[in-house]
Amino acid sequence: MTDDPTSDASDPDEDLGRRLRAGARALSAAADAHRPAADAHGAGADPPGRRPRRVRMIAAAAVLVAVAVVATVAVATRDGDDADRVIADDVDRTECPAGADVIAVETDTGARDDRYFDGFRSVGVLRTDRPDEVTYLNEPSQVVSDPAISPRGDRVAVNWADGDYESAGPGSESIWAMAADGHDARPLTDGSSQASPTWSPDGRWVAFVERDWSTEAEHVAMIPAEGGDVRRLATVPIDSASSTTIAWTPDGGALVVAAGDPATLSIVDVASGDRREVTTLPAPVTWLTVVPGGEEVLGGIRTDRGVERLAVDLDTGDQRPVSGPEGELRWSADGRRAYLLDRSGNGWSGTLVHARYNGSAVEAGEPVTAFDGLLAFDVGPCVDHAVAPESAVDQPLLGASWVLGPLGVRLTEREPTSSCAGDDACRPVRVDVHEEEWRGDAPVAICTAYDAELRGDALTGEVAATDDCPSATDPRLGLPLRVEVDRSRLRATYATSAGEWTVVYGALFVGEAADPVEPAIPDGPALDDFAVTTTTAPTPDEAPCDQVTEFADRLAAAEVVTDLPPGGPPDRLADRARLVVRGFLTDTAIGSDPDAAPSELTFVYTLVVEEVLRADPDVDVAVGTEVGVRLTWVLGDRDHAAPPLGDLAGVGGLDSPDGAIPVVAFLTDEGTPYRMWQVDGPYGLAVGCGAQRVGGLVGEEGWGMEIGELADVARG
Amino acid sequence: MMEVVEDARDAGTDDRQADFSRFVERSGERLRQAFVVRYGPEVGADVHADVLARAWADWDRVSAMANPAGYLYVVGRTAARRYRRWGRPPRFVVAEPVRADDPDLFLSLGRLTEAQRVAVVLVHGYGATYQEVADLLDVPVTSVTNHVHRGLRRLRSELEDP
Repeated sequence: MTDDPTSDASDPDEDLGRRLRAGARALSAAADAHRPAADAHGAGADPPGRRPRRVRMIAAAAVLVAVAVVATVAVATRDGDDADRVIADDVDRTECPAGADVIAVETDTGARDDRYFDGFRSVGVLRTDRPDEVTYLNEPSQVVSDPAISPRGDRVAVNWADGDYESAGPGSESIWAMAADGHDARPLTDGSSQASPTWSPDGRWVAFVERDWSTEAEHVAMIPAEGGDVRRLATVPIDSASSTTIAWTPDGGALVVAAGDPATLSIVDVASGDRREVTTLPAPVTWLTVVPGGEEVLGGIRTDRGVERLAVDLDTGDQRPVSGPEGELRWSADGRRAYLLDRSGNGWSGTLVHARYNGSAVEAGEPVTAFDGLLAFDVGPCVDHAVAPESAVDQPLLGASWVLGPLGVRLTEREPTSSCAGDDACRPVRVDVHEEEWRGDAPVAICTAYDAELRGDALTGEVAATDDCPSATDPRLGLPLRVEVDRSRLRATYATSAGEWTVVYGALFVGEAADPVEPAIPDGPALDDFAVTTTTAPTPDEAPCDQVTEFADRLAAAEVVTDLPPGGPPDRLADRARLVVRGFLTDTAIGSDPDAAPSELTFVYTLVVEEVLRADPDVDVAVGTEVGVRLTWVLGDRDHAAPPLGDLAGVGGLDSPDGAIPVVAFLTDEGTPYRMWQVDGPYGLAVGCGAQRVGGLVGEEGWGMEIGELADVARG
Repeated sequence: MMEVVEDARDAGTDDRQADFSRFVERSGERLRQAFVVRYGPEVGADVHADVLARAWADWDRVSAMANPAGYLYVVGRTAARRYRRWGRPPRFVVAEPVRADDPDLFLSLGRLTEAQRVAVVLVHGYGATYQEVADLLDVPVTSVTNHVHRGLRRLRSELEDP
């Protein structure tokens, strides 16, 4: 048999062709027959060539929603010279009070659920008269930053980094623009390292910075706000310690550009591309804003003492320090109000306040809002934004992307079936798998039930039913079980005689793969193929951390992740490698004695690296690499009076048979805002007990991050 | 002014619906076939319905794409994950009554890779052209040719020596 695909082997013989055509007809007929079951609202089979009635009904409903939205459309003009501008209206429309502005904020996504910080970035919009109502414009699983509000206040340009299946891969950052209520998101640029969008004063252009990796330069460029050809205005050399910062002059005729270390401040004429150097600043610039009137700029420069604020006369180049509280300053669209973002607190929190600038000092006024994870902001005029139309609620704003969150698996015994008859080693079980998907801003819990047969450590089964899975008592353990999921973790809480017993898992599945690789499950790794040790059930005399320390003992020769670096997590967090992995349950074990109450539930997954979203230059991660993850729930012996497991967090880590795989380690615990990524070493494992870190291993060049209570590391 | 705007909007909605309907007439069935072959009749039909519903909700953006069907095929692969089992994506599941006439064929089809199965059945079961399949999978025609070639070779091998 030849491998030449152009050979006749690409055509089936007559018999096989006939069988394929018959099979295709059978599949289509079965799909047709499935429709009535799928459509419980009375739809029947559809005529050939027509859309399924279910879809027609959905589409019809969507039309009704769309019509309803259209019916409330109003024509609004703000200024006499504005063309007719249609903005979506809403029945909940609230007039903007005088002095109100719209603020676009960039936050760490963790700020959205007030839990912990995961490195994903989100952009939200709030009004200063209703600062507690933040409308986020992107999915939590995306990395969206650098918000810029259009001069009309009706659109927001952002920097969208790679991170979902529509992205182009490592190095992909592009400029997107969307309505300020989140709908109508569209890319403006092509995704080749473009960032820092800013609107021209007339709203017709979006300027941005484009990094050119081939020539080690950054271009200052602009593109029509509705999309089109990119105009490159200036090129500046790349400096590894800084990035280019830009701001429009109020007349829209030029861009103020700060680039380099120390920064050179220059003005680039938009029409001609001519560039006039204004001055050289003593350090790289971190932010830049033009003072209303256009005669000077304020900027932050990064020095050994922190970020200092300077005012620079754009005509003479004269520089002078500007005193007052630290932070980035921006003005409202009409130039009447200034806002200051103060991030001088613990490094994670941000406080947005009204501010005044008198030419030599900034004075902070009344606060607008404050929350952890507030990183950057922009100001625009307040307009009456609509809430997202209903038809867009479940529509991802920046392209469909799903965080496939943690899995929870619950096994219960069920009535014997014929499939296990006569097989003493076979135990029929019901398996409830708890999953979640994120749609919009809310997790959707999905429960699926399976009827399975457990033989030794092999679990096989088929779907028995799909239904909501309410809280239930696990009869096998005799423990009431409550499972809660949120975006990044699953918490299984058992009610024991000694109190609640909680096991928490971090997220394992993030992002999507462009072209998934599927390993052969029957040949997948088995439980013992991985070198991770198994925790054992604690005894009443043992502190819970002692048994967890067994993990760490295995790693005695390894470097233990050290304390939190001064000043918070290093900048490297923002550039950490991110992988797309997909997991397959390949093995499971329940305790060691089938007749006794189980002490452990162990699940082994095979994870396949499917895509490297952002590569760490120090790590060679191959797509298709297979790793194992072994998760063990330590259940303890419920006959003991007080299993001291109340604060035992999940333990886990990734391992590989050859120890050559970068690792994601995770550890979470109730009330502890902590997550850890470790993907830049050849091997890694995190071990924890409650709020105490008892051990951890990373590769030679490894690095860990920890926040909050886990900063105190107890070496295992 | 308001009436003019609303009339225009109504007309736009009709045009949008007509455009969407044309797309469904033109590509919807092929998309459905692909999902049915990839995931089996039940999950495939559901995924197809989900995808079209989402396409309609975002039709302005989807219709502007160079290859809407290819995009929706990717969307469907994402949507299908809700049907995954054991942490695995949904497999090609065909109920016994459906496979009764030729159980060996369906067993063998299930052993092909997803891309091979989709390519083989779309081309030789449903009569799709290689270009149609390439557009749907967003791969070069040569890749489709390879999928068909290797899929058929494996099918022959399986069916001759199950």
